[in-house]
Amino acid sequence: MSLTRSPGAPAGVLAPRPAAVGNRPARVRLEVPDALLPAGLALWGWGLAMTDVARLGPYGLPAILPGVAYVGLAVLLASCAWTLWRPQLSPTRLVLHLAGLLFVLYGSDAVLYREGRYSWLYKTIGVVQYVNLHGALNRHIDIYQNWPGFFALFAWFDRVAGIGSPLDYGKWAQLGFEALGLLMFAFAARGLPLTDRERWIALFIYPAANWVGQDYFSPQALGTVLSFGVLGVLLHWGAITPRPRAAPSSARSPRHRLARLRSRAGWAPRGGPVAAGAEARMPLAITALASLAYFVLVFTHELSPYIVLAQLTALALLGRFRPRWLVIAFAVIVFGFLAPRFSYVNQHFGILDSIGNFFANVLPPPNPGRGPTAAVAFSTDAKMLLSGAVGVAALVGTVRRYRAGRPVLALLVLAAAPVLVLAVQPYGGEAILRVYLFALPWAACLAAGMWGPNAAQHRAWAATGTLGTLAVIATLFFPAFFGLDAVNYFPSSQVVAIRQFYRTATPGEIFAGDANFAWSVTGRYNEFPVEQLFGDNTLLSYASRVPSSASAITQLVTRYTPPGEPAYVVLTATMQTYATTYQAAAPGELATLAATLRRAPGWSLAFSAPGVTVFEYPPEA
Amino acid sequence: MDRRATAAALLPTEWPVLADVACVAGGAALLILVATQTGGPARQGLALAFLLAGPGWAVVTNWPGLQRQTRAAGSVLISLVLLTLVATVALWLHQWHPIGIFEVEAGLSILGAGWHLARDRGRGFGPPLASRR
Repeated sequence: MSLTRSPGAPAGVLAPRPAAVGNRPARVRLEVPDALLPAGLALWGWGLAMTDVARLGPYGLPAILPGVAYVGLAVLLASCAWTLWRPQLSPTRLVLHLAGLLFVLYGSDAVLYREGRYSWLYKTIGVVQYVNLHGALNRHIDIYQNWPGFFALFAWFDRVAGIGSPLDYGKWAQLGFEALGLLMFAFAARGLPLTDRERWIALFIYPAANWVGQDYFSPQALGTVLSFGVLGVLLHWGAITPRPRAAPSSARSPRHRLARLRSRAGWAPRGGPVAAGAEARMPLAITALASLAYFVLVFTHELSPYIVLAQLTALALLGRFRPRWLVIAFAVIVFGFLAPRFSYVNQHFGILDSIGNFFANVLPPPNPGRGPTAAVAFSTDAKMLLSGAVGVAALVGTVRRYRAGRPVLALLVLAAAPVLVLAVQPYGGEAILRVYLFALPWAACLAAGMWGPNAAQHRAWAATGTLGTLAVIATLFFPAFFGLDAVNYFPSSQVVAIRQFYRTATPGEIFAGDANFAWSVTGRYNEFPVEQLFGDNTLLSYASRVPSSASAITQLVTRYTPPGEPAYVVLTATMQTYATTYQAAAPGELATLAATLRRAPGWSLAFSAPGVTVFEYPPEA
Repeated sequence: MDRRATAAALLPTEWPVLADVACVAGGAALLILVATQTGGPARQGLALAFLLAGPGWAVVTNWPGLQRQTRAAGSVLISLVLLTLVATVALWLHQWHPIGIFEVEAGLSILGAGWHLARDRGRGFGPPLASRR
């Protein structure tokens, strides 16, 4: 006997499934997607096996993936669309398809590359190692040490798992966090007025359109998961509930009062004697769980709790969320945590100066060089188009839902509220990216309504439309997400060399060609502050470029190095790739600098490995 | 009802029991591996499972108000929240003893899941949840 939801029963109330006729077990009928899914994944895997990472060029991974991989992706997407529009949804098949899609989108780079993408990944790894090295935090080092939840968790995990460094698993973080995020998103979406099919479609759109790349091993990745979790809890028990009706007189007996107390505490089965009256109130245990999860979110990530607060505030003001006092409680938690750190944050990130500068806060980070190359512009265009496509799909879905008389307000509020962040903070030029990240799931829910309420009657048309939508999104996703992999990919030899340098070097100031290397990948990262030489607003920026003469470099380095400390100039091949891609330095300019330092008086070659050269200027020189 | 049909019918009902058993056995195995300082993929896998679901499952399995569909997300959320909270508070209080913290967390998780398991065994595994109410 198995469990199923009875027709008309509330969500979660399960009843025994009627026994199969003649007590024979129900047979699983094979369908076309059961063959398409493994076929698509096999073709994709074959494509990956044929991919040579050494051929990575300016257009990144999409340009070197063989055609067979794209055929595999097309087959996989067709299978997804087919499965999404079966007459009866099959959760098992849908989960398998979602897992396949997640692997293709977020696991392929981990298979192909030996080290994780993005230079900033290595900084978060360094902070985790700092925690395990020192067993304490130092709030004066950087903002990470002021919001330590993520780092404490993974420092603890590394010790329990017997892992020396998050480098061992960091490259799989995108796949892991996306999977966790989807689980929580599915949980949150169950609290929204969506059909099962719409929820599944949204679950497929979200990862395929999430080009922002904030799911790497970082506080934001955990913050996204926790944000979904907090919203999920609140949307299940606090959203869009009618006012509680007065309890009938029969419910005032001691037995019913005791049951009501247990129910309000969330410790009684649903459907108990007072469930109908008590469900309108959020149970105390649920309130406590949501508050605790929100508190953990507050010290895990700097921005996410404010976006969740904005979403809840907007829902509460529009009467779509209760209890309203919880919004005030959350505000007290988040601002109470910020208060003792405000001077640090304001000093380093200028919060007070950016409040109200909406249009300045919208701007993306400035280009680090004289301008992007055609390859960078292509990737940027793909990001813009993908964001626009999701926006248009969400708009169409909103209109269709509205015209069908279905609720849209809560979803619109959830999708739009993150924009409020732009009124307060540029977040280092990344605020607009975070707005997209936090609006995307709810925009995906709206987009899932594109096919209208009667789409099930025209399944072939709807499946074709879904396939077209997923195909457009996935086609744009690849250049948007992997288009700059020539810059974001780090050969293992370079990462090993940089770690070796950090292990053996005397603490000192690092002058790096630019920040595109595995910087700070050490528990001693605070002993090696990094200054950039090439790029906009750096020591050798185009505006004030000094001649690459030995004496000029020495003068510059000694000016910025504290007395008694050595200075290092670190030059890597990945820095030159970055500098060339963003036109922050001419091709070969870092090699010229290396040749200059080789002959410069006082300088010595401190470390050399394939793709990595480190020069040292000792304190006594 | 033949054997295959019996197994197929029992699984959906009994999977929380299996999860309880996995929580107790996995937690105990990880405790032993950590105590004996045994490294390797088994310890890493168990640690990941504990990170994602250990303490959370011990809570949700004793939380009868939660719907079945909420339990997976609930156990992951509660695990991440509790483990992050305890690790961070330990850092703030200058009491960073990750292995000691883990031993307490694992012990409590085993107790929680074991308590539910023992209570369920006392009642017998019989009827599905809905018909127990």
